[in-house]
Amino acid sequence: MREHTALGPEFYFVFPTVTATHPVIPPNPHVTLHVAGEYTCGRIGQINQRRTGNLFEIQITKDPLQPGEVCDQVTRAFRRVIQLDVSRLEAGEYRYSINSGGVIINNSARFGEIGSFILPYDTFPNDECGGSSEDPVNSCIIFF
Amino acid sequence: MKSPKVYLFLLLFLATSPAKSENTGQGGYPIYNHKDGTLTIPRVDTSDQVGRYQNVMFQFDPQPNVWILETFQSRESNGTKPHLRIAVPAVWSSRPTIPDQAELHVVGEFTCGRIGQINQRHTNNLFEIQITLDPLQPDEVCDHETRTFSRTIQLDVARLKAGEYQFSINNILINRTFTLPVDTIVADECGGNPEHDDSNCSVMFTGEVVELRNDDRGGYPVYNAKDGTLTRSRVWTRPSKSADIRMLFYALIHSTMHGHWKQQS
Repeated sequence: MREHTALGPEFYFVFPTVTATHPVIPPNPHVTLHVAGEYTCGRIGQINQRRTGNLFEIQITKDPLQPGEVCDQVTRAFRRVIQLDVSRLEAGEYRYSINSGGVIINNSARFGEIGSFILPYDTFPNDECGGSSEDPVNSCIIFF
Repeated sequence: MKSPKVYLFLLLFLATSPAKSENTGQGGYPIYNHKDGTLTIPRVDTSDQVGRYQNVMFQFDPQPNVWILETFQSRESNGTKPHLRIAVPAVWSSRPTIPDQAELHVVGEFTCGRIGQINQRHTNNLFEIQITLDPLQPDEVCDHETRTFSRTIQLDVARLKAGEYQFSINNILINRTFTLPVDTIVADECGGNPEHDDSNCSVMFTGEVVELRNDDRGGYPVYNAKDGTLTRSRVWTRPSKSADIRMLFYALIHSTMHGHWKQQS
């Protein structure tokens, strides 16, 4: 079981980068969170994310040492670059939190806080169609 | 089993946006509901098929300490449904400003049903894609019309080595490959493991050290038919009052798909 506690990794800074070229010309917008922090007695484990509405929730797990391991009490730094799944989203402002958060600040966040970024345009596919039995038979015509 | 006839075209000028998965509630990951004690798993892989079982729901019974399998959908891919007509990979590489992205453009036909989950997993140099054809509901009547569909599937090419990669759709290996021109392993990462030499790792981003992520199955549940184990590497809970996120780590459950599953860890 992995539940967030105050004994998890400590984050010094988190900042987003948004790279986008053109609304219709690939590649698609690319959004990453750059996270840097420190930890003691353990190791960085799974990094998970989910999105609910306009909020991305990021989990950076600190796995404990194995039963036979001894903690050396050394504080170690780590850095991670987390790619956010921004496919099929509308343009607009999105928020992110790391290991649960609360206070909104602009474009940067510390542990327990929420930051935000702007997705400059919609990321819905424009060449998809069909797939439902409710669609008219000839509603999806493919051109190449 | 007859393989679908697949035509391959190069779509250099097709303007698209990607999709990692489709029609998977909650992004395909398990969710445990504290209130009613249900565990919903949108997708369960087996060794030979992605998304073999879908929308699996367990109910926890604390008295005998078992998870009771309530509902699930069996989705066996035989390569014929839906019928694929076109499957074309496209790779966008514009480093250093934007990391590589790879997409798979798929066109096909189906009759009597609807396109459901689209799942993928990656093993070595093979991407396995599943395009599910969900059957009609019991009260629906099939009109026997053949309908066309088109989908753009974003392949997860993060943290891969440069090189040639294969892909299969519904267990049919497509005679076409795509090439990643450069490694997609993320620079600017370091530390995280006391066994590694992280003496040069600081909290400042400088772009020097590389390290891999820690979930080798991509985070999806895997069902092993040989020993009857279902391994889930990650379980989300619905947001509670404090918006906390908990994770049951490597919950290992034993039993059969029709019986009770006992939680091991």
